[in-house]
Amino acid sequence: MTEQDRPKQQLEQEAINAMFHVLNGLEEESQQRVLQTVVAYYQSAFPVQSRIPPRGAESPSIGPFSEDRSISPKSFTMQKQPSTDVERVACLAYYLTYYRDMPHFKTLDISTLNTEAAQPKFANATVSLENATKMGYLVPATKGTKQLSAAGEVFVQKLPDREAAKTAMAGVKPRRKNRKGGQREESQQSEGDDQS
Amino acid sequence: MVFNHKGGVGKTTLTVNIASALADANKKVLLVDSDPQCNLSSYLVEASVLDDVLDRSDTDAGQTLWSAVKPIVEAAGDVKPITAVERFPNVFLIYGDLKLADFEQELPQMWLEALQRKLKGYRGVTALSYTVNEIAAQHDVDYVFYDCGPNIGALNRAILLDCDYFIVPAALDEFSIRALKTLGITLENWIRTWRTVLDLAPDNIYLLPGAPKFLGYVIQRFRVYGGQVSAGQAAYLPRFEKQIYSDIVSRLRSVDPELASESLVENVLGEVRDFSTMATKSQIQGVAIENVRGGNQQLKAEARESFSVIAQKIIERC
Repeated sequence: MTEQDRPKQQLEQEAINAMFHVLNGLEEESQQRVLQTVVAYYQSAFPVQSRIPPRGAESPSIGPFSEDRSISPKSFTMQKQPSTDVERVACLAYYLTYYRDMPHFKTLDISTLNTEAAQPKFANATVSLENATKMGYLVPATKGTKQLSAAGEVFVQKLPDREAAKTAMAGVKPRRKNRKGGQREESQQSEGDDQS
Repeated sequence: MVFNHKGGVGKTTLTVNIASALADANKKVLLVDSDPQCNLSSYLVEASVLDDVLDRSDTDAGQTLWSAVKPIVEAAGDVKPITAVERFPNVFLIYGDLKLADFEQELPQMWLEALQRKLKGYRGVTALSYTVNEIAAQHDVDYVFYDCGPNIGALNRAILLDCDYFIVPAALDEFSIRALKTLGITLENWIRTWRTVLDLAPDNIYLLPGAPKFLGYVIQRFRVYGGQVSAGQAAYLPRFEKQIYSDIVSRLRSVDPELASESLVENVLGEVRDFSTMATKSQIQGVAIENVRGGNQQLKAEARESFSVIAQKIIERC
């Protein structure tokens, strides 16, 4: 059996064991320094992570306003100036994630926050969330919930600078849906939602 | 208060659009959905959110009008504080509730108790007024608009007597004209009876002012051909003006000349044509007609003009 054939979990376990073995030989201060260096290295090597980063003051990557937990959803949305329903969904998803500690949410959570943010009704909130998912702002999570995608997070952070925000989404391919016959349907390239 | 017990005359649409026009004029507006059908809440809030709010209205977290008055109905204390939600810039909404019908069932008894000088009666009849005034003060609003159900029940009586002014929306048809008669009789009766309550009430107690002034009427939902009101509906206009004077103005003035102006011109607050699909779109999108996304630009401009004229008259007169 080659190394590539070995189960992934086993490899990960061996890596963790090796790390503990090496770190145990160091003093506490050195351990912290080594760990910080490793984390910093891998963060810069993989700046766009698929997992939700840590929240609140512990996170260095969640944007310049993330520590201001007093901002209201209305102020946040006004600050970000989303121009479509889909963008508004992304902004509200960001707010739920970082200001309400709700990384996984349903359509009703977004709609309720939208009302609280004094924003106009969504023409169809379910469709807006689906479109936001298709366009890569959100990703499906467990039990029918959604969560903010890494690209969606960067997009919201860059707003209201639309050019920078657009660049953040440039590498994201819209999700494609398999048809029954195995064919792939063209994803909706347009914003799909009403222009605000 | 936008009031007419005739249904389908466009009360809710008028309320939302006037509120939006007043907000455009830098005024703060509080909208109160006092109709158990919750049409105004449905207009401004997504169905799923409203359903969720209504599901919780009986709990401690309840935020509807019913949540506020429930302790009064259940004799469990005074009104519970609730909050309004901002729906457009400077336009706030207090949620309606289907269970307001339960409150309305209790109101006639409370009314009788108020006539008997019982504290419970005063407290019940003024519960909505107290709640709304508290919220209006919190948000420092300039105008409060009640959107009420199409009936002449006890709930509308308590609301009308709380208002400083009321507006009568009407359509140009036979039924609207006939409805004016009963409306006038009812208004006169309510005001006179409440004056008795006021005369008998002890000092230093929170009471409804009971002097709603007729701000004017708004002719709504008429068809326009070649820039003119359609001939069939135009025929109703002179009859309507006459009936407004004899059925509403003269009756109110018989109670107190301050309650209505004798001037026929002053009693016309505005005219709002039938915006058909634009009105439907505005309801779906939860915005005023002028702010509907898509649709006919000319109709939107007409809507802006019509409602801003009404808003301007309200600002001048109130």
